[in-house]
Amino acid sequence: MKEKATGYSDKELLDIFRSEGRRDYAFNLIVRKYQERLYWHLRRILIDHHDTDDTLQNTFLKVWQNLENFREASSLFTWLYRIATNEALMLLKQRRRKFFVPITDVEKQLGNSIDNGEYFDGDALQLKLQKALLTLPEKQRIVFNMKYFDEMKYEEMAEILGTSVGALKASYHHAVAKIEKYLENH
Amino acid sequence: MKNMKKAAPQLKDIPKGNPWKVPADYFDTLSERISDKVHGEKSPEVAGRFLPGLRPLYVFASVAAVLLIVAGVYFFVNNYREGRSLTSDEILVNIEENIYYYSEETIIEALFVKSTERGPNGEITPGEVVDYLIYEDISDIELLNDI
Repeated sequence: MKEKATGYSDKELLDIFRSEGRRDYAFNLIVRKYQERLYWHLRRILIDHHDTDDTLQNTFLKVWQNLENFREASSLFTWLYRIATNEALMLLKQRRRKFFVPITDVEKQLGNSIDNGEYFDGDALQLKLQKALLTLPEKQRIVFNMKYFDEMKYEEMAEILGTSVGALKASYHHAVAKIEKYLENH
Repeated sequence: MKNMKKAAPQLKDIPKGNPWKVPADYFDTLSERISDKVHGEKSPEVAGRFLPGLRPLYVFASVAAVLLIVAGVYFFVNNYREGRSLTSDEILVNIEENIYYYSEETIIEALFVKSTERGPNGEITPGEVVDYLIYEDISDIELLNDI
């Protein structure tokens, strides 16, 4: 997959990373190639810009620490998304554990982040959709975002989320039905 | 797209564009800040992930965890092979007690098989299983990370 930002395919980037004395250069290219896509993926999960920024930086830190051992069992793109998704889920989980906050309250906090609207630029319908999304269970929300907004293939999503294509299809179908119901009633 | 129009007419009317903003120049400076963060950390080889004295303990704990997973899956799968009939409640309790020992796929596959054998009263639909697993905040990726 070629990308305008760097002009290198993932395979080429990994080859550069493995060549003597070029690790920093290759890592920087990888960051520049994927920073925006990963940012928006995380932002849809975490809503808040500052949480997203922290999580994105932690994601790339993990990538740096583990890239040497990456054996290409999956594509680089899938691997990066997997780390980022895990980091986001961990952050939400830690928040609940640390403050003994029930799931619904975490979603409420995320909803408040939208209402504060420091970095929200959508119209009323988009705001309503974001609120509808927050009524979904975390992982179902991620499935919906990846399919609906990122237009990802189920096969790629299955690799990233570590579950089967069938489970993802069912999950997406349920998510759409729940969102539609929310939109009808609000 | 036609399906979406039929199944979700309200959703279809909402603009799909990105409603979020970022601070000015955020992406222009991001790679530099990531680079600073990365080089502020010791490399994993130098830092070491565990205190030397704790390393054997960690290895022991990992082996014990793997054995528990294997034993759990063996027990779970055997129950189905023996044809023992479990109620929906028993299955959910079993999953709840052992959620940390099974991968999502194992549970889904086991329940899919079971759901075809049971009558309409005791049946758990695949959709319900998926919902349940999604609601449980655990995936096999996280499980492996915890080990």
